[in-house]
Amino acid sequence: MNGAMTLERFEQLADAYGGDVTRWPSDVRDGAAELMVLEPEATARLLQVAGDLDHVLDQWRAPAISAGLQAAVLAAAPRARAAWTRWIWGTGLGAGLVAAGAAGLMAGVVISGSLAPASDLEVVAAAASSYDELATALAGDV
Amino acid sequence: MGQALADPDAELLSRVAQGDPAAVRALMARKLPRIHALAFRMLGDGSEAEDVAQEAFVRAWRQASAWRPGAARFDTWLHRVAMNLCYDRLRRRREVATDTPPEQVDSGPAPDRGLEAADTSAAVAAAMAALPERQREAITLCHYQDLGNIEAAAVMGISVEALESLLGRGRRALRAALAGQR
Repeated sequence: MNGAMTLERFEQLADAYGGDVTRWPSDVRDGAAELMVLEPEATARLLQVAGDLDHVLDQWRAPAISAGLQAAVLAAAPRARAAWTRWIWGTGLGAGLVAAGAAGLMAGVVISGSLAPASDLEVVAAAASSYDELATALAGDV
Repeated sequence: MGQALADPDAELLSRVAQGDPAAVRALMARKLPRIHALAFRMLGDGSEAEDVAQEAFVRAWRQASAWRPGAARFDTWLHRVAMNLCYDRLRRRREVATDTPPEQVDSGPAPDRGLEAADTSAAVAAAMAALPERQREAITLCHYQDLGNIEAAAVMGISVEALESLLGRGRRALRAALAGQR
């Protein structure tokens, strides 16, 4: 937009974005700069009024964050897996091991199904809807 | 700005997803003060702001591994998450306060009170708290969080024109309420 900016539009922008033109939207800055040359006093007055409010607003500072908050945020962050775990999962061996474990488990269930009540592991295996879920259930917290 | 969004946090996020402790610390240092400040200015309460910031980060850590670069900037997403958490709390406050008058009903432009306020910071806090929530949100995002108009409008889910209108009305109300403050 290269149309000339009016003083009214300049005032709207100062009202909205404050007294520092460098913080105005980039697509209006050129027009504003042009008007500041053509109407230096009127634009300076508008920027002064807006800038005064900016100055007052800036005196309201947020408090520093506490060490407790930082510790809580860090404690909840993702943790790296051990290098050997990453390697096993990276090669696909992890999924293979889980699949083999699951197959063995299911075979055990079939063989002993009529002889013994369901164990906790069997319940977990039966409830798991995917290998991933099963892997998590079997491996515990990763 | 027609090009794909270049997310300055993307690289850090991918390292966070792998559990890189240095990346975790770097992202926390970059974002936590901003998100805490955002919540503080929306809620006017340091303790609640800490709760919101903590919850926002729990979600951010969870999101890190699923982050898709290009859809939205992570910073915009995180602001949106924190803002939603603030609105949840503001809504709860209103529900609790239905039988009792809100404690911070500022009378708006009250020259006597404004002039008497020795502490400009407290006066600004009171004036901001007295604003309608959407105006406060717009001013918080643009003035205090220093987001551009497009980004702030995206966080608020409104057009740039609507944002500008909220900003203008909000700042005019603040100017009236804070007349006499330096």
